[in-house]
Amino acid sequence: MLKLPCPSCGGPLEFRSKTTLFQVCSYCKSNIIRADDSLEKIGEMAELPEDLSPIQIGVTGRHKGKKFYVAGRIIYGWEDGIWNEWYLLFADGKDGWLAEAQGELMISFSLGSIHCPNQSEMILGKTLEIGGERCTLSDIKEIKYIGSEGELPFKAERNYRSTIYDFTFSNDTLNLFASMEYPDRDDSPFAYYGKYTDIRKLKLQNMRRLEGWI
Amino acid sequence: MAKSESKNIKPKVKSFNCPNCGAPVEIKILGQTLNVVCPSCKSIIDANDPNFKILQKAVSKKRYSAYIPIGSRGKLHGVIWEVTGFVVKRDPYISWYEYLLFNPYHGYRWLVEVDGHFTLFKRLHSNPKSFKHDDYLIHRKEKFKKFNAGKATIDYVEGEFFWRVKRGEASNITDYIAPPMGISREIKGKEINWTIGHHVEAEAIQHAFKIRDSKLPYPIGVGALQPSAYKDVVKKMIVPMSWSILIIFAIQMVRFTMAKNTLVYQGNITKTNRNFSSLKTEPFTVSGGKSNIMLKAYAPLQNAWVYLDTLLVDNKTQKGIPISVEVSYYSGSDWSEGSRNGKAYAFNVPDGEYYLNIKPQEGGNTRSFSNVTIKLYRDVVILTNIGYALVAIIIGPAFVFFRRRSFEVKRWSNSDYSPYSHGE
Repeated sequence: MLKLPCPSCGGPLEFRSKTTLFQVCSYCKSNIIRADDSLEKIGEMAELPEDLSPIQIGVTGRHKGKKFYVAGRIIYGWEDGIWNEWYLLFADGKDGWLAEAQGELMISFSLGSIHCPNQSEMILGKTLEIGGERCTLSDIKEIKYIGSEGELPFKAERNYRSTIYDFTFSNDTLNLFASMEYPDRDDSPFAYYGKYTDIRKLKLQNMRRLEGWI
Repeated sequence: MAKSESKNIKPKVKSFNCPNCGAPVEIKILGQTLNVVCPSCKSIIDANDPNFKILQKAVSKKRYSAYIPIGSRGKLHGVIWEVTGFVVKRDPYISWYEYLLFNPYHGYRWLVEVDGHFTLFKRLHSNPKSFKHDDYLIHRKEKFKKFNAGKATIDYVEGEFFWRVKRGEASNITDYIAPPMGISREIKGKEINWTIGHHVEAEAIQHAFKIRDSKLPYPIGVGALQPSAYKDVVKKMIVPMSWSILIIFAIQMVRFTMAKNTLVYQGNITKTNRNFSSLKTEPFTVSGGKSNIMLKAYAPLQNAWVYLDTLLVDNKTQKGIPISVEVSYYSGSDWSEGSRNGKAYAFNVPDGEYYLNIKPQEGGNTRSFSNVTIKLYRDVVILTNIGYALVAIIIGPAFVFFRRRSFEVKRWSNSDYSPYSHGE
């Protein structure tokens, strides 16, 4: 783990992964971008909205036997509220995301741009095959970036907007989950593939201890 | 850093005054709640609007009271749930209550109460396959039969919700059942939501949420997902029943091979002057150990009966064992009743010298025959015993089967898709 002082307040910044390119200083809320070993402040993070999430930075868990660490979070907003995307760093250097929305948890991993059809073809009910499993486009939402904390593998941009397409699978035993993200600024899309899960299956530890609920 | 964070966090609550009536309103599930209903004037409020915009004022004075009040908590299957929302829905026939339950570690559940029967639903994460024009679904190898389908309207809301709620809003709901499990599909505009639930006993709800006895509605009829008490009984009965039948057949097989079936006497009873008279047979010996005795009678009669009032008499003690036999046979051009053969039994007959004391009686077309042949056997296999044993074994399961069926008929009486009705 790399430790560097925050260029703004001098507080210690921890870089758990080489993939971390962006971080919000937990002391002064400065947005820090990392290029090689030099750090640069590119702005400040506003106060994040309160929520009742049981997850926080520092939570550990297991997925398919591999240990992960919750290193960062992005909060996205859409017309029906907000949700959390927790950035997971695995012991073997890989990374993933744990989405937390409407009381549901979805763990997923980036598949890059493969599988992503042309955006004009993305109509509700469209069927695809991902990982050999048939799925149907079941939800489309416009999202925007609200805020972030901790370490992230990319620069979180204040004006980031994208369209997210969620897929539902016919496979009734694997609890599969997939979504595709098409950024508004014509970057290449990303597909995420994983499964619905819960805190028990993930064996989450070091969760927030919410008074009245533990 | 991690250590300092393991202390308890007091969940924050957002409080404000209802812009419509001024009463205090609280939002407890920050980050999730989209709409909150003013507990006083029942206006629906946008929880994320900086001015708490009123989305819908309550027009009707009609109020429902939740059996499980908002804010109450109960432990179900090891998890504490708080009632955070209450919705009353109705279709053209009935109205029912839905409670939204929340736990920050486990998310949301829906507790649905119809006619006093409770079901606990959660989101289903796959698209179940539908078969035979939506007649049934298959989910995890289980067949879910269509139970009801129709348009449901929201009549009343209370509490806070993670989706937009609106009184008067309609959705199309289809319920599929595989008791005690059920799958429900709700279509609202472009949105399709699948949920899967299981039956929960009303007592479990009452106990979990500490509701006073009289407060919960009494369950009416058979719930759509109510498990049949008889279902498992039938399953449990099948193995012992099969074993009993097998054992009986095994015993009978042994009897068949062991039985001596020895003829100890045969004779002919003939009428004199068209009439029978009482008679005593010659003595005969029965030996080989205590056993059963069968008296077989044959008469070539037609539309008549003959009854041989018979005693098997011990020649030494003169004690008689009754072994009366009847033969009767009637027939027409396309029917017949009875048989020209008759059988009677005596049991545990010891060895010795015996004779038969026979008093024949007859009736009907007595002219149709003039004699009766009788044969006496010892140590015979009695097939009717198997029959009785089988009846005894099957009667329990048969009773359960019919109870189970009538339970299912009652369940499906609340459905438009009952497999038990052949109407229309």
